[in-house]
Amino acid sequence: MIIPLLKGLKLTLKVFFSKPATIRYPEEKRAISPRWRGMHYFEKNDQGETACVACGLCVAVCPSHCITLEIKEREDGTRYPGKYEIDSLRCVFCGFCQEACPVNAIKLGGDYEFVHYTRDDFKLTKESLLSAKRIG
Amino acid sequence: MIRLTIDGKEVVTEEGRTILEAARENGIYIPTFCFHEKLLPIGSCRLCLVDVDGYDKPMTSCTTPALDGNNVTTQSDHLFRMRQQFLQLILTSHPLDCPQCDKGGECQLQNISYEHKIEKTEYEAVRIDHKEAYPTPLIHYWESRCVLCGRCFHACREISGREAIDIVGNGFESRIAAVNKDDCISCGECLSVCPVGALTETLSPVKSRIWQSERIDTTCPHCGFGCQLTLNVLDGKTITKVVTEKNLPPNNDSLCVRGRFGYDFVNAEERIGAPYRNLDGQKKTVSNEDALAFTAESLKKLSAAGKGTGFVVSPRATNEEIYLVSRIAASLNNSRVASAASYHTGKAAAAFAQMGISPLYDYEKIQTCQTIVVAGADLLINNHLVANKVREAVKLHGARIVSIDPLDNSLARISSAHLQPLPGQDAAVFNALSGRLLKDGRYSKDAETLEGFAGIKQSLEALSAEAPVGIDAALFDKAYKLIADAENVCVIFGSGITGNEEGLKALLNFSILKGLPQKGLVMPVALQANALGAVSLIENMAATEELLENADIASIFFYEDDPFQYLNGGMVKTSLAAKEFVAVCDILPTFVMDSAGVVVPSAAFAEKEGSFISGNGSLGAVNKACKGPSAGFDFLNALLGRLGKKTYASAAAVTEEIRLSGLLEKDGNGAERLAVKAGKLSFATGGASVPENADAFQLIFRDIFKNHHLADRGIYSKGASSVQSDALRISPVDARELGLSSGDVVVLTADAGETACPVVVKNGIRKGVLECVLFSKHNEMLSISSRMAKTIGVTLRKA
Repeated sequence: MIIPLLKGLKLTLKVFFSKPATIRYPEEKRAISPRWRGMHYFEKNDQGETACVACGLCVAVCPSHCITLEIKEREDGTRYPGKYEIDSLRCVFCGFCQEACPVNAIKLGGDYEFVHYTRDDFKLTKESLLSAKRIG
Repeated sequence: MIRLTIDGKEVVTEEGRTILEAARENGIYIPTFCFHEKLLPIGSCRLCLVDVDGYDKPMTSCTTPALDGNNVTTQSDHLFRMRQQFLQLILTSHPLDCPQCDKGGECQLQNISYEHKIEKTEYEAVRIDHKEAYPTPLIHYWESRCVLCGRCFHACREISGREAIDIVGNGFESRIAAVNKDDCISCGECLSVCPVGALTETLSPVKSRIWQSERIDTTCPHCGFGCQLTLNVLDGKTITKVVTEKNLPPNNDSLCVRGRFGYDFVNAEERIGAPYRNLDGQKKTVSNEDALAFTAESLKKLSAAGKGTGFVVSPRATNEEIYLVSRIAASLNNSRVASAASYHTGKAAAAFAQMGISPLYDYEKIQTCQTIVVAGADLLINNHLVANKVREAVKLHGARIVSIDPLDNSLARISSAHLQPLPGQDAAVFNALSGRLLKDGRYSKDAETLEGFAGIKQSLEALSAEAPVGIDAALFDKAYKLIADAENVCVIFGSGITGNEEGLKALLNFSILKGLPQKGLVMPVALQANALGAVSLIENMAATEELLENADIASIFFYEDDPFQYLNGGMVKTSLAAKEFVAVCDILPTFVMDSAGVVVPSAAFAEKEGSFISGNGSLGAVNKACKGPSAGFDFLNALLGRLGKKTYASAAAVTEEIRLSGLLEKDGNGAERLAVKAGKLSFATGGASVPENADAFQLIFRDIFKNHHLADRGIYSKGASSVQSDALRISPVDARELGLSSGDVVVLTADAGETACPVVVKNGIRKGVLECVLFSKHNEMLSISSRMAKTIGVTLRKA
């Protein structure tokens, strides 16, 4: 009866003095893979605006139909997204939008910390995509 | 019939067809790029190359006529490589900005490059964008995207009969540019045929790609031609453009400026959003329920007190809405329904019915006529598509045009004879033409058996058959000869004729005498989208001013109509102040709303479900493109319920009831149209009075109803407003006599007042006549006359 107890204690002591398998999240964070597909963000152009030219290819390719785009045109004929919205609760993080983007404007970053109180907060807008963290 | 072999398949085709046409008829595919079915072959892209036995080199199939015994090869490695090379040449100066281009996803160059397995461009050339302005501000020209296929300037000439654009420059400098800016009518024909995104519309601030948009077919809400167009809608609420791609009759993908660019008022910010009441000069927003209860109670109370109720319904409302208004009117005592349709369409329809002429006609019959008479109508301003059909008849079938109009008009430049009678003198012209037909015995012999023939013969013989005073005799003889020699004649008349009863009768007598109802065509231009529907649905239709002036009518309900657009504003205001209750239901702020006790919002055409009856009697479906309720229809329906009558589940239920009432019938092709009981043809009696010319000038209003809902009070359609303006035009002869030049301000005086406005000197106007084009200054111009008329006598002096 004492033998199993000692066996258990041995394992406890072994683990107690070895490097832990867990980390102290959120104080500590795990490094992410370079191929990690986390939260979306917008690349900026020289003027600090979104690099997006509102071509709508991401809308076309999105398998879960979670991107809403309203294309606006400037006087000189160049285009920008008047409204750009990703419903992140519907998003499957496949990364097709990033792959389809001809100007590398929409990207999936490394951020995975995504907690909100209301469903509306999960809608990524043009502004939130521009100010989003660009980890990774 | 000739026989030839294409790709080993024996095909039969008519003589005169090209190889491409023969192949397409038989389902054989030949790639094309610059070829467009509505245009004559251009032959600039060289993609339709085919090998024909007997020729050393490949031939362009779009321009090579098919000959008996030809052996044609359309597909081979050699041809494929040649096509690839020609495509490479086209792509040399075409940028890869597909993500930013309107056409991306529906671009013919994309499709054909994909089909020919082109993955990269082999050649490179530097091209400078000259950034020249396109003739119309509604279209943006992207020089770098242009592949110079030539469709646009061919369309400008062949479809619209204009010469606004052409290719200028050589080599890499070649580009499309305005050669005659003033000739552009902003019809957008060039835009619709452009195979790439070199021409894009600038109107909508919001764009949508093909895969984001829904495309809904509907009927154009502007004039009564009944054009079919497709609305490109984003998210079920914003119309981002109008496209035409399905080749639907009657317009076959052509539109005018209003059809193609007059849609933006639907998304205007100024739209009436919620019902409101005018209380002590303050607008107080109320709920739908309150507005409905207030309207119903007021109508019921006044009706119960034995007072009359008037309804003024827009001839641009759908049949269903007009029907509901007439049901509401029927449930009240002493009610009358009026409509602006009564001014032109109503008069024409009444005269047609009286004389037994069918108001139904087929636009394609124009092509069978050798002579086309256009009287008192500017087809550029209204029914531009009829002008296109006339031009087609001239171009393809050698028809000749006789214009009878004191003003210059869009067809005058290709008219064989342009007679310019004074306003009111039309009757004299038509009587003289009829008189001469009788004298020479060149009238239709069927006419002899008709009722009234003896009377008309006698009265015409008493009149002179010579050219009326003031009209060039040689020109009159020419016009007469063209009419007498032609077997089939088409007569198109506008509000210039219906404005004068004698003129209308003389024109119809002339038409019957020439045998037109059977052999040719007699058609009034159709001013408003559903004018014929309003005329057919409303029994005993009144003119708007009859209701306003009638003191027995204590309450009045305006449905999408603003009498300030076509009547003397001061008069309307005074009449409305005397009414006990005024309600308005409309989509945008109008002047009449200031006099209204209650205002409720209505729906624009893109938000409605229903139908229009176009000028030729055919039924056009109005489909809902924007989601949401149809405010006007719902209000009428609920009001009907409040008045204790049966309500309808939907607009379709109303259509069904209209159908059951026997107003509609099916034509030979199964399409629905207005049911008309054929009457017996007869002549109308009526003399021709000599026009009074006491005033120095006759002022003619060009179509007053043209911009209804586009220019009420403010200008809500950027598309329509950027290319139109108010104008007062004078002939060079009068201008010289008065010492006027373009831009000078003149004062016009008529019986009710005077107004000042700048004048423009224009060639082609008859001496003694002023042309007034109204766009936003209806109030100023209409207030000088006390009566509603197409033509008013005015005196003019320099300010």
